Amino acid sequence: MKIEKIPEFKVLIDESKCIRCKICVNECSFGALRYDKKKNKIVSKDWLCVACLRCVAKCPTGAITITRNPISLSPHDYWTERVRRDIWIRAETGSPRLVSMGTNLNYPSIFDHLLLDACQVTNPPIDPLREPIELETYLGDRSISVHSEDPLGLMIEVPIIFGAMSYGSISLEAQKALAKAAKELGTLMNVGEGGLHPDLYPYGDNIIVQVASGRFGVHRDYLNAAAAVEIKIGQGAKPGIGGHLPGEKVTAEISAMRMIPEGTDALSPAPHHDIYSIEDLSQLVYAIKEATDYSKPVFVKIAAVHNVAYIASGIARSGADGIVIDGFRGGTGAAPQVIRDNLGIPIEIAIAVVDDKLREEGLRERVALIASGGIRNSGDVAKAIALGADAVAISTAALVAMGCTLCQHCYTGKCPWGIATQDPKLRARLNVDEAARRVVNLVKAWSTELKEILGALGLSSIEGLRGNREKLRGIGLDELTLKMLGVKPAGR
Amino acid sequence: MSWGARVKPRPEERSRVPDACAIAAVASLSGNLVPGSGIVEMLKAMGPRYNGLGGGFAAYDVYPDFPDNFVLHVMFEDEGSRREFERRLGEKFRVAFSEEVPTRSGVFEEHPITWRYFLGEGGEGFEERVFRFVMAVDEGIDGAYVVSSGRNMAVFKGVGRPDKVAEFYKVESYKAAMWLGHGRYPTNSPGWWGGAHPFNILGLSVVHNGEISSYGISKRYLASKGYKFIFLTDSEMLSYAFDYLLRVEKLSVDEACKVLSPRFWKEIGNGNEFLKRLRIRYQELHVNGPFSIAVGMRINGDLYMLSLTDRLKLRPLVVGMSDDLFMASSEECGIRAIEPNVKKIWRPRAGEPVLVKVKRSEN
Repeated sequence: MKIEKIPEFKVLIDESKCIRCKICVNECSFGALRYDKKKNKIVSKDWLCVACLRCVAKCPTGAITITRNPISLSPHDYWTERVRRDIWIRAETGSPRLVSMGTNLNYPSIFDHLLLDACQVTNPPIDPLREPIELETYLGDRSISVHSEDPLGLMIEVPIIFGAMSYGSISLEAQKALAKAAKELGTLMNVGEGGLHPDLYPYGDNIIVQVASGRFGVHRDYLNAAAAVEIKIGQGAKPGIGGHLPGEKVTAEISAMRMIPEGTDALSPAPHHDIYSIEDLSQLVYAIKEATDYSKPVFVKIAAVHNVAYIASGIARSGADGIVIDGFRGGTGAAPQVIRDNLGIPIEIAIAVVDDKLREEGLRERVALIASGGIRNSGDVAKAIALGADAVAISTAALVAMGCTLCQHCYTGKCPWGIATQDPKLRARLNVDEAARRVVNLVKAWSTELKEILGALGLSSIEGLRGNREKLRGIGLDELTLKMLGVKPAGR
Repeated sequence: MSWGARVKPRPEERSRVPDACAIAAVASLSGNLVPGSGIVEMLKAMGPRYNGLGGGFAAYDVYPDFPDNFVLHVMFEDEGSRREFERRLGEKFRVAFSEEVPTRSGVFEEHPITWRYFLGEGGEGFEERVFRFVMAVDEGIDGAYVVSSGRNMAVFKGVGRPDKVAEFYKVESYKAAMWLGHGRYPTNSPGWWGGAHPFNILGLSVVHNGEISSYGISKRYLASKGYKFIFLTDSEMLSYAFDYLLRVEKLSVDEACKVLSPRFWKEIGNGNEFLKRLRIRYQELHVNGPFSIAVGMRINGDLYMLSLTDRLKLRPLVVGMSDDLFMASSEECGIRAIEPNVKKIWRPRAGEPVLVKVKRSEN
């Protein structure tokens, strides 16, 4: 066995419980399980197991356990098992390693070092069961005079939208589930750069369409079908690099959506070839506004990088109505591991410095700020908004709600849950209505939790929390980080 | 030479102190002038609402000899601050008359000295010049603080029970078309004389009871519009918020109230485009959390008294009317203390402004 094939996981099958029904064999899309007729038992190729837990969930008798393979590499805290495995894989393939989802490295989380306030005595908390608490959120330019008749941006009912995931990176079923959920919740989903499937046109009022560097599927009807248009400059998981959908995944349907020949590689270049600086961005913003008769907000999505405050300030002057900032923890369907794990900055800091810079420059009211990249729960939502975001975008959390277990193998296209795959047999596993129901439930639960938080803070609407860093305190953060976040240490 | 009492914190001392309070306001509906003793009686009736750590008054149309002059009331910690202030004042304005504000000795052991300066000009752009000067002094001279800066008006305030503060400044010796009063219950002893209410900027004064939960963002918003926050109190923020909306953004009083205390989205619905735009554009000034306020303002020469609560009405507010007086108070007893024969008393609904145009006295 080649050394990189030493399994990370081990499939344990309880022989006394197994009824040889072979469901697990059919369910495993990675080919890790096989029925051995001679021995009359299920045998596993452990090195193929990715710990997606599909077999465990589907086994009718609960006979399967997946564990970490307890291998004993000679211990080394610097040359960890992960480091050694990464070298072995490259040594064998001679290629960068592709990975999926946000970075799995143990970088410190600033969200986990921030605490929220609560009212005691001097100020009454508000009981969300008795008093209305509002989450309605406006996305767009709000510098326009109150007497103007220029069209306003978008009102959404919760400060949570769904992040960009293209048809190609996820299945049509997963996209439909997000569109249904967005409609029911009164919010927005983003179809990414894979074009807009005809089935999704009826959900246009709840859809953001993307114009990315590949310009796949971009035409006038596409732009006009949506509630908003997003120019994608960068993505938190892979700032500064393009995308690559291999030709074998460009099926007839995907080729039609992306407007490229079937079977050809879909290459998104690293830069937009008509944007080599900020003045070019402004031209694209206005080209899109012209094409949509100035009726739709145009957002610009960037990855959070070192100079993010100045970049955002430039974008706010470009005519854009919103800036989506994707932190370094943001997810991806496929990205080179070294890029995902080493580039960018945390979303918490990016939002704080961008909000500060825009206010300093008198530009904050011109644009909405949307934070994404690593939002795990309603606590993160509240903290991102208190730091200055108008709303957050969630993607990984929405997929987890549908059933994703974060096995981090989306790039293989073998998603056993029918989410990140184009295989018709696997896609059929995702029930659109059920997936939509679970996503709606997640956002409803978070909304209730947000109302509880607002009530405890003595706020009857989300705008009282937005940019209100008085409501945050830091623990275990250094002075300079606190200063950048505009947050006092706990106890002050 | 230092006079032993501080007027304001230095930047490194600035911290936010929550407080609760008694508020009171009274104006004549018939053009009579109301003596200062009346507003003191209103506050005395509400004694349990304050703890002796702050009291103050605003008086409008109080200087019959200078009916049209802007007047700066300025507190000084020491002689050096006063000299520096007067040097800067002389560079920017012509002073028609100035004097030390008379006080009674023996009321407070330590206190700052307050002077008033009647400015001898006016006209186009004058308010903006005064505004900038006030901000520059508050931020730039350590031992000086401008407590009021409007036309023909005064603010008297200090660290002490409101009746003590009134005794100190001889409030009973003044008559005014409109009075605001305040007794403060801060949660610790900040000790700055300038930190008592009312808070004033130009013709606008606020007395406030409550704690603004959204203070953090409203302050950041107004700071980015050029307002200097010295005391980090909610009331300072409210006075700036009104000034910004009325004077800079040119909203009507009613519109400004709908910014501070907006209707719920369900009530605004899809029908009322203007209310929607108002709430969206000024979302940072949606004053979230409990407050009741009385505001005195002079707009285009006319005096108005406004009272308003947050949209859930988490702080009390009562208003009353007699033949001669209009009154607003934290509690009904305040109204009955000044006007036992009050004709009509009511409790305004949550977030509903009560705006009264004050009849000007003939002077």
